[in-house]
Amino acid sequence: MRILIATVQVPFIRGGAEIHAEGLCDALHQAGHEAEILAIPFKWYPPEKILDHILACRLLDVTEVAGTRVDRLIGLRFPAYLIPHPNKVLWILHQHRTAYELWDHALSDLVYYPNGSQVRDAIEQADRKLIPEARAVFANSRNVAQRLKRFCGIDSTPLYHPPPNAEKFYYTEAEDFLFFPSRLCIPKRQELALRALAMTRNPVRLSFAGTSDHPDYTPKLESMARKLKIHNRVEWLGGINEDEKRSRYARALAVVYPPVDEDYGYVTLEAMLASKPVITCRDSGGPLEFVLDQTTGLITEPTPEALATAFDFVWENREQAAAWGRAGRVRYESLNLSWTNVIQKLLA
Amino acid sequence: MDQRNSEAARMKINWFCPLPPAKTSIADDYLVGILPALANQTELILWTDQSTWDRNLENLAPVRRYDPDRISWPELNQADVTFYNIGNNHLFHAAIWQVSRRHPGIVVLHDLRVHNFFDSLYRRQWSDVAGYLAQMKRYYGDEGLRAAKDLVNSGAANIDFMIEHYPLTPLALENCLAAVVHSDEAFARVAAMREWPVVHASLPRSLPPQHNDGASLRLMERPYRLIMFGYMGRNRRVDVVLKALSALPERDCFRLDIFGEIPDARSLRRRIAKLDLGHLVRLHGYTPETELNKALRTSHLAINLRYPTMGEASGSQLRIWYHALPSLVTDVGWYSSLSRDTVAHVRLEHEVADIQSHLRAFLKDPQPFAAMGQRSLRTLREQHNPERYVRTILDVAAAARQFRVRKSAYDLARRAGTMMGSWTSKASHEPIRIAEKICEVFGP
Amino acid sequence: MRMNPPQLEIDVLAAVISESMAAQQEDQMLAHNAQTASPKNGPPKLKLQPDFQASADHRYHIHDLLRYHDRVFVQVAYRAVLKRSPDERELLRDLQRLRSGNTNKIDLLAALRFSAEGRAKGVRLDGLVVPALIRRLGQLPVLGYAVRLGIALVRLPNQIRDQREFGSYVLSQHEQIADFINLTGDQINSLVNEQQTIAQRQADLFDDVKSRIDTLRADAVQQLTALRFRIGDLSNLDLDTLYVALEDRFRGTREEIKERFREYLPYVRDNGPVIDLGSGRGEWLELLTDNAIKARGVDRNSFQVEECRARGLDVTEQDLFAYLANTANESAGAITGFHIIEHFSFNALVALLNEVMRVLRPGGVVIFETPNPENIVVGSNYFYLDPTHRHPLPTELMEFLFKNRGFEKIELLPLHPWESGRVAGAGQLAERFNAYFYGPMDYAVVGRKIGA
Repeated sequence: MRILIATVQVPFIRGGAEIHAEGLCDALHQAGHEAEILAIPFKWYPPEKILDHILACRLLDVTEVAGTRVDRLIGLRFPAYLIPHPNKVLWILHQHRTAYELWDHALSDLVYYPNGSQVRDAIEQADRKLIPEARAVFANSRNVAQRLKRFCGIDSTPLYHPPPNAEKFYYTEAEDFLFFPSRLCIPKRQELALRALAMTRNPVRLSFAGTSDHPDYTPKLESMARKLKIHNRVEWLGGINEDEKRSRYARALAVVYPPVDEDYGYVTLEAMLASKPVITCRDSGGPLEFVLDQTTGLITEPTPEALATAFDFVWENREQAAAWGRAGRVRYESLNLSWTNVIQKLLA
Repeated sequence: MDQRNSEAARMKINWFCPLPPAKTSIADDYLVGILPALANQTELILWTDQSTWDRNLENLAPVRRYDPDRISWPELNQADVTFYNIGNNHLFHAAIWQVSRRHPGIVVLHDLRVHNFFDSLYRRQWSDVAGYLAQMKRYYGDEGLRAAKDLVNSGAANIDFMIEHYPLTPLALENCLAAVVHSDEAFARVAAMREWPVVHASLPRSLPPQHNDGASLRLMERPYRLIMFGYMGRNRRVDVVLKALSALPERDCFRLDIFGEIPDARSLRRRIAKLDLGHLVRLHGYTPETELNKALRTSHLAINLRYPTMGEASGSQLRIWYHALPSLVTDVGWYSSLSRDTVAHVRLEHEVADIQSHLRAFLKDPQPFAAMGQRSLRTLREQHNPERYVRTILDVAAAARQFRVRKSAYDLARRAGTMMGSWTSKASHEPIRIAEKICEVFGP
Repeated sequence: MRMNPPQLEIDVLAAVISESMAAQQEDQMLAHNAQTASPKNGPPKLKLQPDFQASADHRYHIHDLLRYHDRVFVQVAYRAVLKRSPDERELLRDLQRLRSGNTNKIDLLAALRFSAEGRAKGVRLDGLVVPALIRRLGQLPVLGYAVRLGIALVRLPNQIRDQREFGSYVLSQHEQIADFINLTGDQINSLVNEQQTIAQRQADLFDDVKSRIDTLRADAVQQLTALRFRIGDLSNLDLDTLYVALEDRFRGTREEIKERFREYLPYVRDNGPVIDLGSGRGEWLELLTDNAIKARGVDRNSFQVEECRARGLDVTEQDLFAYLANTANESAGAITGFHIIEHFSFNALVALLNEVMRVLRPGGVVIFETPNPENIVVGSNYFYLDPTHRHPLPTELMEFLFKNRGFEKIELLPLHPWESGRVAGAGQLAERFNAYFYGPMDYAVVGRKIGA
């Protein structure tokens, strides 16, 4: 089949969504299909630009290319999933979050514009009216599916997929550090982890891997660590390559991952693949679909105190932590995450 | 956000309005009349740029002070919908209008003809003559621009002409989600613009349950008391009334009391003296509410002529009805739409003659006029009651989301047109094709 | 609740899009025009009447307004009394009335002031009532005349003064007009001067361009000549004399050649007229003439043609193909060509044979003589003494061609053996050697056209 994957790109910025699209594309190739990624450049400010992009997507015609039909369009992100096609399947990574669950959030940008509520309603209208055009609607996770139902009244099926290079993860004996791999930005809550670290009674060490989108955010975190006087227990690894990352996973005592309302979260799955316990929070979203409290990891309140308690616990109970980690691996296997499964569902 | 989907929850509403003690009937009569019902059924926030306001209002709803250049958008966005009360007086509505241009909301348009507002705002308040000319050009083309230049050069000598021919109503409604109007004329005109949804609601006036209309106190015996009140500008036709009265042989059967501020009172007194009406006409100047109400209670016939009118529904007229008074009104604008059995109309071309014939009829038999007063009170109670008005406001507020989507369609259409205009010269099918695409997304 | 339905309509949206497009185009055009418009410095406008300033308190004396005239008066009257400009219709109507003399200014002011609109506007016009009244009285049927007369007498001193005033007003207006015309005249003069300067500049430019072109042309001619030299395009005149010298050097004397031609006489004796293609020095022609056989020749070499003519021979200076093309079918008894066919390309040779076939009378004869390549020395050396020879033509080839072109009774005549060069000896070697090296140096191929 000839398949186009419709997604969105923010030029020069690369994240999980790009990896997801590429993973799908590769998997389709391996299954013998012709597949390509169609990425629309997206600018969401000032808010009225979003409406322009919606119209632009609706004006595109990808039903056939040079006389040959495009058999299927798989839409991943807003507003690319609004591109019309008779055989469209949506696998929604997330909607335009600042119009929905992040509307009143401190992280939102839309609410700060005078015409913010107007654009918000327009986005909801577009989603409500046009998402059902697809012949099937899948969601990246149960979290995303629930949001879609709650805000737009649309039913969708959660469809999980494996993280990239799943087979390459391994584990070894735990060393003295907790590992927190993630892009450095506010929603991932590295700041919460730092505050928690300052409250531990043990000399817990925390390694952060990842770069920030904004050049001044890393220095900000570093100075925060210094102010909290924990900078000698914190390691800033910056951008590391995949091998290095897997090595850290393998040697970590536990993986810390407390983002706010994450859509999916590769980190959780990678930790499970590396047989390590995951420390996450009640409002973290995606990770909660995989982590089982006190079975494969710890789920705490999103406060520094609660997280500190969790850090101390794994620091003091290494055996327990390791057992949880192994249980996490078993759980991963039981989930049957495979690209074959994904493709079968998407192309049904 | 989920609250939006649930009907039972109370709506959160921003209400931009002049507040008492601002000297406008929109604050005194209108707002005070509807506030109890409105605040009771919604989560209301009053927004004002005034430096002082009647603190008693805060028992009903919180008051937020703002500066139009520095207003908190997130706070406005958190409400379900924002209402803007806009009228012809730039002192009370300039800031409101400025905010309305940036954060789309529902405009309650108290005056249809708002040329004075923009003339004063641009030329006097902002010293921006170019801005005024630009708006005139934008809405009325080269002809409007020429007329505007006339106005500027002649010191607004042609202002009446400008008000009538170039009302600038769409500028007041720019960027709004929908309009609420109080007169048939305004409804027809805004609907004809085919851009904004428009709703008609009768101007409200509150009536206490045990309302004493004073009719029983009114002894129908001579001399009959005629009353005029409010700001006695040129459009109140005072000279015409004096002329009609003085030419009436039976004039001694009447007394005329004029309450309210009078520009150039001295020359008015001279005219009264010249017409030999000194013993019949009394000028009271500005009068506090209680005294005015007392006077209204003991009057027999109110005279509420207006020309020219801004197309507004008159709060003072409702006040006249409140006291079950019969009244003489000019046959223009909103007044034309009033039923003949609640008011007596005076034709513009025959002002003196009509006034005199009504006065004579009153002398001959005052009973039908008294009945007219009673009927007008009934009309007030039925059609102009605040609960009914607030229900309409809530219905409009509930449709806000729909209005926003519609507005997004229009905005997008305009931007698409502007974009295409820079690289196509003549396109016959493009507008329809793009319009169809837009309706695909934003239509029902 | 009465509400105007807020449904989205496609045609309304399409109209919005069109309007925005039009507005954008207009903006762009205005911006463009503003950029490209040149500042105008034309003559100033002439204003004979002052501008009207509205009064702030809406109060005027009629004298303020009466000092305007004609169109300006009508506009001022409206602006003062009705506070607006008159529209087109009103302006034309009132102007016409004024100009026709039916109404005067007072009448107009009164009409405006006492109209419904005028009363509503309530502007104060002092000094209007009395004149208006008098005017009215003056229009009464009989009494009117008396009134007008009386008024006129009363006003006479004023009228005289007004007259004088009017006279000086008119004079001042004329002066203004004169000044304006002078100013305009000056502008025109300066424009004319500018014009002349431009014309002069243009003429200079033209001259400049012309001289440049001439220079260019001369250069071009020089270059072209040099180029032609390079590619060897010398005038034919030079080559002709060279050729003559060549032939004289290598061909042999005239007498020798003439002798050799005798051999051919039997072939052509009863086959006149003879056309000799490439007649050269004319030996053959001379021989034929001597033997009273009609003959004419054609050659391109102008020297040789001159020479032949000088001997009284009939020779045409022309390309032989062109000559043949102009010759009628079956008009020649014999066509001969001595040492010409080795000059042609194969294609030309075939074409020549075709032409010969056409021009010959039935039974006519064609003779071509050419160097014999069987003689090795000729084929490898002497053939090329004439640089315009192409390549040797083998006897078998010519025989084949003749047959192929339809000639019959084909004969190959070996000619001019090199007796003096033979080696002595009797054996096979000497025989062969002599045959290859000292055998016939030329040969002739003879053919006849079918027919009588």
